[in-house]
Amino acid sequence: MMYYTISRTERCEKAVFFSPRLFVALLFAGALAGCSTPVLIQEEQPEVSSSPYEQRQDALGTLLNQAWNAREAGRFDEAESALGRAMRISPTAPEVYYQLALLRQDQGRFEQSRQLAERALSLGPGFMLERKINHLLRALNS
Amino acid sequence: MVNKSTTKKGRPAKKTKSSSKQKQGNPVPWKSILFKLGLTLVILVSAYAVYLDAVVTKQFEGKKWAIPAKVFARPVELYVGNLITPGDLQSQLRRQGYQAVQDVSRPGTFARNGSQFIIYSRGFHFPDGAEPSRYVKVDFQGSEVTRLAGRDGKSLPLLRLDPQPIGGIYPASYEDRLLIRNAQTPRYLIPALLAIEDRDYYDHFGISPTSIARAMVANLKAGGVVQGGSTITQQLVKNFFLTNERTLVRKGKEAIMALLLELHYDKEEILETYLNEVYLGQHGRRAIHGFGLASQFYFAQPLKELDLARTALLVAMVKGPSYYDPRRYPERALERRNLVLDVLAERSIVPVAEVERSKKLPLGVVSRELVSTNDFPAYIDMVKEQLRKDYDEKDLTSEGLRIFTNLDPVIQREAQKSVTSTLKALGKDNQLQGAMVVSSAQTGDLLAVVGDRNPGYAGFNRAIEARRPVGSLLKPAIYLTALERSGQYTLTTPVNDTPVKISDGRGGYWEPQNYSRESHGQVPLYLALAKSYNQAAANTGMAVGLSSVLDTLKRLGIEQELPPYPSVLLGSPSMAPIEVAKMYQTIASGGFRMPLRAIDAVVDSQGKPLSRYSISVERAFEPGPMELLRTALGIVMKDGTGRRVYQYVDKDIKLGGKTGTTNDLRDSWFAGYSGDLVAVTWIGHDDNSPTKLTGSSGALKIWGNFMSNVPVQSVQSLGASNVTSIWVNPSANGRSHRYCEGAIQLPYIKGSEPQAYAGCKADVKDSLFDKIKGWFE
Repeated sequence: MMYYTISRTERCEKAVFFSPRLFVALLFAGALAGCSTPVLIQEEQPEVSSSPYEQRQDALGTLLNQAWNAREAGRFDEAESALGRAMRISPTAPEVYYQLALLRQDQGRFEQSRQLAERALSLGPGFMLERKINHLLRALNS
Repeated sequence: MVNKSTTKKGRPAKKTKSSSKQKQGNPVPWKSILFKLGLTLVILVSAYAVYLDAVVTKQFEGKKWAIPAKVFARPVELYVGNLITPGDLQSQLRRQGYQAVQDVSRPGTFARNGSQFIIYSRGFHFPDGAEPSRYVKVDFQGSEVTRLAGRDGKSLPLLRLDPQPIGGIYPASYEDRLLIRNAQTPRYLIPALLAIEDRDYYDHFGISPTSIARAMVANLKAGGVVQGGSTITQQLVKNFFLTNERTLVRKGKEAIMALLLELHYDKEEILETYLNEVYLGQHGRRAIHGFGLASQFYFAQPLKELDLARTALLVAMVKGPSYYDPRRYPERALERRNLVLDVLAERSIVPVAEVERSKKLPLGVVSRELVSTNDFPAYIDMVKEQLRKDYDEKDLTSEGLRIFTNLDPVIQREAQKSVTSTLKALGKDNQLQGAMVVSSAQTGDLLAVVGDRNPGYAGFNRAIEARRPVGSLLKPAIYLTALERSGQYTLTTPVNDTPVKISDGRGGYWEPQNYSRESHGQVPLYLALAKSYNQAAANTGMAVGLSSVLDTLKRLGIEQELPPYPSVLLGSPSMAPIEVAKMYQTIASGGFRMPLRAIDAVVDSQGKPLSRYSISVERAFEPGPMELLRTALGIVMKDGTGRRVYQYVDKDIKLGGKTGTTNDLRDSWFAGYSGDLVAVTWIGHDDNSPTKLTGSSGALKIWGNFMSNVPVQSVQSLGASNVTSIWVNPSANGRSHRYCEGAIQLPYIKGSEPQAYAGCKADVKDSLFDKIKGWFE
């Protein structure tokens, strides 16, 4: 939990730091909406706070959940391993490539993150996942 | 032996003794001379002992052995939806030394009841951490896992088995071992070993006068050497520090060193070293040392899992691993094993009933083939090639690294089986050779490499080393180059299959012929590829430009520099199957170039991760043109030169691929993919003589055979947003209605699709009707 807080704070700071315009817009919108910045950031970031795979009982879901939690906690090696296994089990599941793209983003390997996001898009993600991938791509391109 | 250093010969102290002469008549200071002599001797022996002490401690501390790197296959993972036949699972479990039992109660055992398995997996330390041992019930329906549950009946998401060891990277000495700790030995190993080899082990100080006396009596009685008096410590000293010569000097040295060893180290450490050092067999050039490796070598099981009978057999073999080799001399080995068991009963180490039961058991030795650690030499070659880029040879052969690979043992066996059986079926020509490479279509994981028709053959690896002209395998690059120019080319654009005469760039002319020796005039682009027309390919290649085609080949993953000659278009360059696989990998993955990865991760001897070889992808082609090319390669399989594949594979499964045949039928190639696998197969002669086989009548059969024996998924559409699919009359390059004869549905990059109708009824009303009908369908 503590790890998560740290990582989310960092992410907010990153967004604020890299995008002054967004910062102003958020402040303005925050004032209008009467809510605090982090809530809006959560709206901007389609990634939800806890693992979206938490309830999954299947093999792929279990590994994605493990990867998600490990990445959030900064245990990148563990996340990498879990995604490697997930990829062997479901090599055409776009979620796996998307998760790996997020991991590469967290590792600062932005070009590979972009390529993996493209790969995820090429594997026919559903509507929601496609939105998330496109969001990631926009973030990477900005 | 690697860490053995030579020891200097002892300086003969006797010389001093013999050189002293006494003169009669003179009063001789006997006592003084003797004292001096004794003192000199003591000093010399002490000095020598100090030297030996240095030798002993130096070698015994720190790293005792060079441990070769161990290579593992990817672990079998079981989960709901997993496709693996129960038969394949059972043979894989057996190969990994899992014992089939009635009552599954310990790790390394399993029971099968029809389509239900109970597996007690072994724990294993993977690069990502420890996987605990688990008791799991696995239900199958056909070839699919439908349920996975723990002992309590609760369902489990997945079960990861321990990985199968598939080889090692050995030093020049070929000495191999698997280090174990005393705590990792089965219950009776140490008591049995001591009972047979050194019953006073815990009471003596390195040498055992009682043992020596006992041995002398026995030997005198027998009139020859029948029993040795060496302690475990002495045996260890002999193996570890000394040579095999049988001289008194060496015996003396051995005794001193044994005493020194006992002085410095405790019994447990000496025993543990012995357990790991002892020589227990030979596997070709590879020397099997230590009980840990011997257990794998003879029983394919971890040492800890051995039952009493197997434990006793290993102990029995210490006396003479080749004389008592249970594979070559099973009767001798059985006799001695039972002798060991009797001793255990006599000395009340094991209850008599258990001994009697164990004596009735067979030796339990698995076939050499089953544990052949170099079962997949062609794959190991690939692993070594990739490792050498990052590691020194010395580290690979001595540091005990553990290499986790992407080899899929089931796929690898099926691949080898397909190569072997197809070549056998193709005729009595035993000289016909084959090679095959299989990878995961979406990730580039290298799953299998076959380098010879004979399984386990560790020589010329054709999958990597045999570079042969690839023939029509490069044609997809020509048409892909064309299809990337959507303004000029579509799948139905007519291309010229007409005689062609081009300067060959070397002062002559190049005039390729079709295989049938006929030209077909103007043919739709996709059909030219499906039927593999040479003249159409040459004309299209020259029209789009040789340099553009070469660039496409590069983007597809062909790394070698190809000469700018027109003959390249029809596959004159020589390539190894693995290079061809790289090119088709890019197509199979929908336009993403990625390296073929044999290695997943490397960890050090302590299990600490050293490197990980993760997937990396790079988009090399836009999805639109790639979708078009993949459609054409699908038609190759349905209606073109690859159609024989559907004699092996279900017609509903979409595949893509291309045949390749070279001049005079010297090489027969097939490269293709399903939704999940890429496979490249080659057949030819090592002396390059004709095979009388085309791609379709040769290599395709290996491919089809293989695909029919593994779970195969359909190729999926890439879902490119700028692609539209319409019904056309391909020969007229015009739109059509689906009910018109010869109409087919093909994808087009939006805006490039034909506008005019060339179907049977070309009025707009019908088209609208079609459209409405299409919505409902």
